[in-house]
Amino acid sequence: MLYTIDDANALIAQGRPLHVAGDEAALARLRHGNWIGGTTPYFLTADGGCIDRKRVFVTLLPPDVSALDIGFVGPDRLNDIPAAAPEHGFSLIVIPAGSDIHAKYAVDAYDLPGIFESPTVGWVAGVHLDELSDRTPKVFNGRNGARTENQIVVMRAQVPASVTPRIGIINLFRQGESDCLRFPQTAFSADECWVNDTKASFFEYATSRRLDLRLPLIGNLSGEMINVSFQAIDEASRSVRFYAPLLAGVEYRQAVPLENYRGALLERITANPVTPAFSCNCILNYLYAGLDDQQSLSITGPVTFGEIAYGLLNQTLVYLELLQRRP
Amino acid sequence: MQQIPPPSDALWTKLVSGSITHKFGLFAANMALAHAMRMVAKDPARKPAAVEDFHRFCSKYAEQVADELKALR
Repeated sequence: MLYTIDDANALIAQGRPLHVAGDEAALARLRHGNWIGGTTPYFLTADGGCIDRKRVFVTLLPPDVSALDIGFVGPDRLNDIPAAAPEHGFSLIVIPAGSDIHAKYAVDAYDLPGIFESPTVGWVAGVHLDELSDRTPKVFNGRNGARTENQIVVMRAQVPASVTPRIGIINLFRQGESDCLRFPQTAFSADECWVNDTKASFFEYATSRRLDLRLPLIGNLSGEMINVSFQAIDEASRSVRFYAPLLAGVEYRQAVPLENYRGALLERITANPVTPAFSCNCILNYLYAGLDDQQSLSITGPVTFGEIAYGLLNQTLVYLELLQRRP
Repeated sequence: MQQIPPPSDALWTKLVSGSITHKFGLFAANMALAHAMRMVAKDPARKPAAVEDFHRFCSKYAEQVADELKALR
């Protein structure tokens, strides 16, 4: 929930591990302690969605979570994220949007040795959309107050052996029955592609069909519908840019249109009665569903420029549950 | 303690080669299987490595996937 800086500092003083999201100036006023953070002024709270530059959104991790370690990881040490993950626990990460490490993690994540053997959950930090050209997203190491725009901040969190951390997602979309699209390289932009096994220009395909760019391309990864959201059609380079990489070899189809984006999102959240230890939601869901109002939400958190559920996702709500193991 | 089939069981090869399909209840299991399948699709010679990776994953999460694996055999 949203806290004033004074109240957030009081929580930090208690020593419990925290995740904090907020405007850069607000995060910079927090005392040192057991927390990590990232920049965004957009939040989803129990009282609705909002933009708030003065308060910070604090996720107080449950009492049986202990922060083993907090630190930055650079682009040449991505393997450390799964390699140094706790035996019983999870890694909570925040990545600055638009940075080289954002691109590198997005492309390499699924190939990091052991990535699926310990939950890695988190989000991509952003800025106010009106300030994209003026400010850069940052992530914070609360232990020493350091901030960076080109590394990932990681909290390696331990839980008792009786607890199972489990990542879940809420994705509104499903694949349509449109053309099957495949791409030769794992990349954030596409020019060449195969459309139903015929080689084609994806730029030509997207422009000639006037694709609705609000509807992501969806890859079916062993039954999980994984979105890749359109960023823009780039006339200059005759390519199409995305907010996450298209994975080489995966068969994509564009999503089925939603009759009521907002209603579909609220219905899916309501139908998913989880009590997350951490959750976040995509800024495209926030914008397209018009969540900047008083609509009460049961799953809250920062509004993000990308969601991490092992790899980078788009237009998805991501959450982490801590489940008691069966005796 | 939940048991899963040994790596030599034909189930694993069928899963990573896509000859049987299944959506697990565990998000991570689907992502790990999809990664193993992509590995095999890109280079069939890596099937043993894909089986090893996915078996190791399922060993760690046996409590959450064992019943589904049993039903698939």
